[in-house]
Amino acid sequence: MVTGALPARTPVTIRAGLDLPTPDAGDARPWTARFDPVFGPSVWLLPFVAALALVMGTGGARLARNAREPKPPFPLLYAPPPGIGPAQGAYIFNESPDREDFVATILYAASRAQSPSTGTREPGP
Amino acid sequence: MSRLVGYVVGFGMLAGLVLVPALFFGLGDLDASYEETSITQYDASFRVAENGDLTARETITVDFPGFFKHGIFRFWDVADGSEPFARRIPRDIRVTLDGAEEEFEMLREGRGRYRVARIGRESVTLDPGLHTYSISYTVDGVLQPGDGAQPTQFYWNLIPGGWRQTIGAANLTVELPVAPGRSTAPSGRGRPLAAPPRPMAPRSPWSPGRCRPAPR
Repeated sequence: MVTGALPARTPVTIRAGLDLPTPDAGDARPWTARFDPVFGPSVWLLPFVAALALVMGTGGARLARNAREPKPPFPLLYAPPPGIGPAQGAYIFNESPDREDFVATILYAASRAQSPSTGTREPGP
Repeated sequence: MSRLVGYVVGFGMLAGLVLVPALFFGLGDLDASYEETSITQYDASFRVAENGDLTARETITVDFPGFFKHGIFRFWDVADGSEPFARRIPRDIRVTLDGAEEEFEMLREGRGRYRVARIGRESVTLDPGLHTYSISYTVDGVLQPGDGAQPTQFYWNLIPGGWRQTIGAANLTVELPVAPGRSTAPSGRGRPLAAPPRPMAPRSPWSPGRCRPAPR
């Protein structure tokens, strides 16, 4: 076909119907061309990058969770609750007594003016 | 609950940021002001294979009125308005200038929408006068589903809308895998096409009403 003079930026278009099963498009993607700068140039790269982002995001979330201290269920105490001795408290906490607990018990008993062995009042010096 | 809202808002902002490049797609420095060169003759032949692959050869005679020009640009639009999910990416591009192999550099413009061949060498300026470029390339799978009358159609800008030059005359040949259907290739086989009606606004598409299958 022949055309006459054409101004600048003037396309000449053909539309021809063909009695032929439509072959696959040479390069087709599930997104329109507008999203090429976002989703990239190929179909297989997107799931790869998405999977990588998911893995790294999960790792990052775990790290972030480690950095956050869980809220304690009861307020911080600097001494055992009333009626519980230091050694009792430590035993409940650690499930084993040690030397410090023993000393703490003696001091605690002394502060209450009781002998840890007998529990009876002793005369002072 | 507030943490969940924070996550949703943060994720929304992130998604918005990621999608920002889509807003600028197709934009860019494509508009040149005045173009002093012109195309005196534009001959192009297109061959569409049965698998849809298009092989094209464009022979373009360009009039360079002055000195200091290195060459021309050829734009290919990757997006296809009639087939939004397809990409029309040229490959196997070869360029000759006055019969000799010519160098070119492939660029991307319009945020990736256009492939551009910058044809010419930096160290060489062309003599004023007529020069003939021959550009050949292949585009994979350009056939698309038809609009009803036929199952398939070839819907193509034989002359793309990106040429900055005026075109004196064009001679276009299309070879299709089968003869085109009557509904889209009306009568007038072999007769020259009239020029588009004047005056015409720039960038207005014009489709020739007549088309003939190339001799097989």
